[in-house]
Amino acid sequence: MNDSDALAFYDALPPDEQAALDRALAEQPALAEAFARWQSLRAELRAELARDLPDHALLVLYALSDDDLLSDADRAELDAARPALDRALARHPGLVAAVARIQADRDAFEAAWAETAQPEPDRPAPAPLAVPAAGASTTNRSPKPAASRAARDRPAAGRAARGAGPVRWVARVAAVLAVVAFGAVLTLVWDRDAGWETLVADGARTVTFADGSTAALADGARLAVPGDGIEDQRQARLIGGRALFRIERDPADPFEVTTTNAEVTVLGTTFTVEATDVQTEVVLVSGAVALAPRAMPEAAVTLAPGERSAVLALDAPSAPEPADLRALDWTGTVFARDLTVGELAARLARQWGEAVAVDPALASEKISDGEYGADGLRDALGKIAGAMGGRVVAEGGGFRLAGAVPSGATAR
Amino acid sequence: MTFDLLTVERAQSGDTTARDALLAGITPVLRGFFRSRIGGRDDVDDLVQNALIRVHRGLGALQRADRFKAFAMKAALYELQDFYRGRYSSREALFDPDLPTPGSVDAEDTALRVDLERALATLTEHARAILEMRELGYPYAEIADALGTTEAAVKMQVKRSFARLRELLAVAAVLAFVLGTFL
Repeated sequence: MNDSDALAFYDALPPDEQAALDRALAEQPALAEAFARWQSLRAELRAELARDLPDHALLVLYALSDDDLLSDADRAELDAARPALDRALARHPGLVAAVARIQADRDAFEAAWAETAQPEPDRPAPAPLAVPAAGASTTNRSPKPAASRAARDRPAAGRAARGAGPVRWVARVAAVLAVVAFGAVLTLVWDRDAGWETLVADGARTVTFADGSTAALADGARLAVPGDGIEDQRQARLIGGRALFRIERDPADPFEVTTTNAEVTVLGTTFTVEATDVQTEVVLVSGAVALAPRAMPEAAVTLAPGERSAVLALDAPSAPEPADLRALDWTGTVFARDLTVGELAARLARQWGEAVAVDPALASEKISDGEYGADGLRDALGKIAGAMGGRVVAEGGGFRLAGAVPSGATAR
Repeated sequence: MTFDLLTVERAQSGDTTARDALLAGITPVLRGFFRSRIGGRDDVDDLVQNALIRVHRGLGALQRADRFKAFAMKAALYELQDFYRGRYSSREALFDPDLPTPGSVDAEDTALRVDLERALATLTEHARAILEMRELGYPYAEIADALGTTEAAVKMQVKRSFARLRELLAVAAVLAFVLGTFL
């Protein structure tokens, strides 16, 4: 490429080639004059573009306007600017091409999104959210005055971020994310220091939260609960051991259980968590929960009732699979799923260390899924008998589930 | 925690764990997007982090959590526009738009000033589109892609435009000489 051709691409050249051209320009006045004109031409083009399209963000909004991607505020802003924008597009073919390019960028983003397989929001759009002031906790959702809310649904606008330039300092944000990825334990320690109270179960123990949710701890389990100074009381940290959580439903304020390496988000449900320093296992009894490594929230899995999943270290959760609910017998409650009366009675008998017999006519009958035994063996047997139209008979130091009360007899 | 409305709402409410989860959740999306647009350059990290900051700063103003995807998309597109406009240390970056282009003629320099309007009028629409896209900050390869042609063809158009401008200059010089000699 000769000097004349190279000058047309001056700004795209590396510094050494620009320096060589600078020397050539110093030696060739005619070439220098032509280059000056060329640069002036480009400057004029840029000035025209800046005059006709002062805000480049509008070009993005315009490119996205055919899709349902703009907020009401975006649309209002675009509508207000549209006459001038239409004139600019009619005058500048480069802007038309840029719009097409942005639309290609939009498609590329959609592809990246689909490739990452992020789940779409899974419930209808709520009314505009009440966002507390910065720093407020999740439980204290006092609505922000409408006037104080930014009127636009726009990511901190191009203009706001432009001042940061190449923003090397944002590497600190990356560092924060890295900490999230690899510092779960540190986070736990930090939170404990911030006013959490750690309970160590010496024998079975049940913790009741302010909202009525409970955590039944197995012997030796360690549970950190928010102290009085922490506003968000719908959270807990299972530091180690096993716990059965029964969470009061509150869609507006989900309960969150975290362990050293995972977190479980729930709206209202019953589930168990068993945590060690390196593994967290969740068995869901009822409702729905999402289990995710703290380091990889995008890898969350959602469990259905009767399923289990585990997070080992920083790995993704294992695929949900049917759980053996007998593993929950330590809770003192038998969680029945697809059991016969005979099977359930046998489980309860083992649980309580008492003899429970079942009449053959009832033994093979299916019993409703549910919880049995939380209020004692007798209560559980009475529940079964009631469901089957039978009765509980105390005999020989144990119990027997029998059929309907014979005529003239008295149920016991 | 999944990336869902719940996470978005909690993040908006000041829950730092949800916010971190949200940002971590969209990081691979942003990374994949920027890589697909500019390749595996070092700038991708800056683009990703800047887009995350845009999302973080704007999250409180997001009025509908179910539109988070579109919200994140806009953040990414704004960031890419800034990238094209030379806000990064790109080899092909334009000069700072707020500063005069090096080598350009001062508008007050009437002795050297050519009729830029006339020069611009000589450009074909295709050439003008190329030069305007260049002034918007797009690399030549991106311009070629946007216009459905090759980078070589785009550069050929640029060279022809520069050559045409030089021809105009030569004609103007001759005219000036003739007018100066005979008038």
